[in-house]
Amino acid sequence: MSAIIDAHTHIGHDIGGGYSQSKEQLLTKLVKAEVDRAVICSFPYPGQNVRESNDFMAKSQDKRLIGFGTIYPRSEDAPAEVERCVQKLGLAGLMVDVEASCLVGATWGAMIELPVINSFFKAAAKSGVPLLIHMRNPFSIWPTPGLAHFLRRMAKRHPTLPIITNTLLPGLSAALESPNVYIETEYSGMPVDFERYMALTGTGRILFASNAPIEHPYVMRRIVEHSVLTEEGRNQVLSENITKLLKL
Amino acid sequence: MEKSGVSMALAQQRMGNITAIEELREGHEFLLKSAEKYPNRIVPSTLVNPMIKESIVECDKRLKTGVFKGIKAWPMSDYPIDSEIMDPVMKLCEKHRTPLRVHSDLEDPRSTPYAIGDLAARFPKVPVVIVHAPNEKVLSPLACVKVARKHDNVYLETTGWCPSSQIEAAIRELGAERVIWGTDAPWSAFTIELAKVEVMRLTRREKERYLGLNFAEMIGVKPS
Repeated sequence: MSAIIDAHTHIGHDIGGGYSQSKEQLLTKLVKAEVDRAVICSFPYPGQNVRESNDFMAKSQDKRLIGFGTIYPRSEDAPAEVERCVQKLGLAGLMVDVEASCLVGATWGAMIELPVINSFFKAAAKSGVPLLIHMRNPFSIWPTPGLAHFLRRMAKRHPTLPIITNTLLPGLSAALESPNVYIETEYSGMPVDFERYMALTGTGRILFASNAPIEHPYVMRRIVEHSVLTEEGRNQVLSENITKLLKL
Repeated sequence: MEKSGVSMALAQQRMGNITAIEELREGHEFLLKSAEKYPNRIVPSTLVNPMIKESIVECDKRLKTGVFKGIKAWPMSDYPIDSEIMDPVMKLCEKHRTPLRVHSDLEDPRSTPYAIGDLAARFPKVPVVIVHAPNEKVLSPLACVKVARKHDNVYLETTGWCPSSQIEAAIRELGAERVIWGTDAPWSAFTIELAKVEVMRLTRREKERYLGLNFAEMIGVKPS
């Protein structure tokens, strides 16, 4: 098997939730879990200085840690920050947190035609890197079936933009009708959830992810290993799918 | 259990909106047979639906045998856990000196940790276990910990989607005596829930309490 990659972790301090994790702590966990590399994101929170966070992610990248930039899509600077993250800082992906970046309109349906949102999505599609739609809590009031509808439309409008969603999003099956929508295993706290994902997509669009420090990658690996997967499927989930997305 | 080195498990019948007493009885019978087949390994739990009056009598009958331990409540059958409808159930717990275990959900007014805390406050002699806590996915860990800190008879059980980081935080906040290990198998697996314990920074004593002693003492059994 090629390198095992955890597709979603955080480093820094979580202002909202009280979590923190240093780069060294994360690396120690990867060793315990026998995971080779990890995607690192900031801990998103409302009012976050994303430029500073993105500079920090760029500095934290190394041969084991792959940085994603945090973007506020409602900001008029979002397209420029997308370009800076990818072209100047060399970050490998983008993250939008639904709650922290106030990515909420009167309805998700109304967001589909909002000019500022479309400018961001165009820039993200042009950047050539995947976009992680991050939710702090999939059972909060924001991730509704309307969000799945929004993601589906955006994915269809920008078929070259891989969109990763990290939750048990209501209506996820509708979003997954677009082949450029991927799901990662964070919140698959039980094998039954993981198996539900497999029933929806097969194994070609599932990414192994722990959301460390919330969960330890060692525990999430046990969940993957416990699930009914073929050797090929296991390789896809743990390694091949994210490797292709990140063009590693 | 064999494969994972787990000596004993509390078993309950399937949840869901059980509205017929026959269905509850059938579930209890099945559990009894399982416990008879595997004595000292499978401990059956009763399930109550206080909306069905006969279910109180049914639980009383099962608890009297000494084989069944604890009462499980599932408020999604549509009753508020802190209402008076629960009083006969709590009196039964007092009578048999057995805990009440309650399925909990922060977003469901019938079973929030706060509502469970209010019930526990009215019956301070009954150990009340918040099931699926602390659980980021469904519950706020802050709510569960806050409620358990306020009421000495409230315990947290970590079955479900509880991340290891939050279980460890709850043990730090409340002490290992107040937190109970579980799997909710077959929803989760013994290996996965034990992997969480492996990555938590717990002392040997804390692990012993969390993994079994707390609950064994609460239901009055001696693990084999």
